[in-house]
Amino acid sequence: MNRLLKNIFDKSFTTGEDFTKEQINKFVSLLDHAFVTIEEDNSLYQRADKIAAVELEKMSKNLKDQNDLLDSFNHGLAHDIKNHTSNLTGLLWMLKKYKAKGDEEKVAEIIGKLEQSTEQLVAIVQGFLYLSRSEVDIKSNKEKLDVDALQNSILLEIDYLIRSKNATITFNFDNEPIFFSAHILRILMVNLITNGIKYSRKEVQPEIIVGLSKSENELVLTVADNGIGMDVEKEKSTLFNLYKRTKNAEAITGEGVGLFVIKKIVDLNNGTIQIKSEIGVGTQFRITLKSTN
Amino acid sequence: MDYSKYSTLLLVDDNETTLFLNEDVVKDIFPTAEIITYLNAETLLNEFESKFTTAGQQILMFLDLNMDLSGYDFLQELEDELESLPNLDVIILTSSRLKRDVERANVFGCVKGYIEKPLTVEKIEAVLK
Repeated sequence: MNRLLKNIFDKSFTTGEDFTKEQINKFVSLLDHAFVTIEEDNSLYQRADKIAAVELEKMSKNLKDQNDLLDSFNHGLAHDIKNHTSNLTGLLWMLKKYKAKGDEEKVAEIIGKLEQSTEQLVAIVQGFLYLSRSEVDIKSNKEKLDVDALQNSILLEIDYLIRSKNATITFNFDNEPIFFSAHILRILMVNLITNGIKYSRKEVQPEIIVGLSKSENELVLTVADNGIGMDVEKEKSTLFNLYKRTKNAEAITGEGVGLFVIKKIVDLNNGTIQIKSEIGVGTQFRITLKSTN
Repeated sequence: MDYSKYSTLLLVDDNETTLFLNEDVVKDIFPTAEIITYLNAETLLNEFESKFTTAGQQILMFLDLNMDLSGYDFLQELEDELESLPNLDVIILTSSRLKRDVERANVFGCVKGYIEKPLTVEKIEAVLK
């Protein structure tokens, strides 16, 4: 278009002729066309700008939410670690004191507490490592899930527990392709299955059913057991606290960090958790996770 | 400082191991006082008026800052409920020394000081001297 205009002008200047009516009409129509194109470009540009602004705002809100969550988590974690290290220091001082006094009974009690505190500290750090790895994974969770590999890696990870309690695990996965982080699903499943096996009823062989299905843009994970159950109404306000153990789980060894880690992971993935349970019958967890594909 | 002026010691912390440790430390420095531990600050809040406002009772409380109900919220609720707490001294216990926490401690008349865990006899003596 520029070249056309230039030709018309050049010809008119070099020949000194006036523009013909035809040339002027051509000139006006070219200008019209140019204006329309510019206007269209402009509105297109503005629209793209608006969309980008909305998307940016959404993204920054999302990031801020995740940051706030991580912040409060890190703050809580730092406090927990500090608390445990000062307990360990205190217990060591106390151990020395009673060792010097020759009070063997007290010494044994303190060693028991030392063991317990150390185990808890290890579990906190473990939970933190789990979470920091799942953070990385959130960004790359569009991989197509290899369900067989996932099941095998879970069974391998808790092989000892399954065999020692003679438990059966049934996987009930949808046939549809699922796009989600295998790492996050493995953490959730291992923690919930482990709980289901650990908190089984005496003389009752643990049976765990794990389901995974897709509904709209959500992934639904269910883990049901036939274990000791719990009073959900009574426990729900504190169920996901660090080290919280339910009333009827007090006789079973455990660090009480499993559900805490699960809750954090689900929060980070904009998900929900529902629990149905009956004492002496079993517990069912239903977790939804936002699927990004 | 006459440590025997305290008839009752209250230890408030949501961690059992910390209570176990603190009880052992305070026994050494307050051998005649009655020592009562609370894992749940809410429980103490509910029982405080009936159990710990007897005339002649002098109470020293070791209060953990970082619980479900924060130590300061606990004190605020206690003050709101009872208006005055003439027989209560408080030592705040915390896992880390933050400036804003120390500043907030000065708002409450009953707070004698601030100790970073783990608790020791020397740290208690330094606060009460």
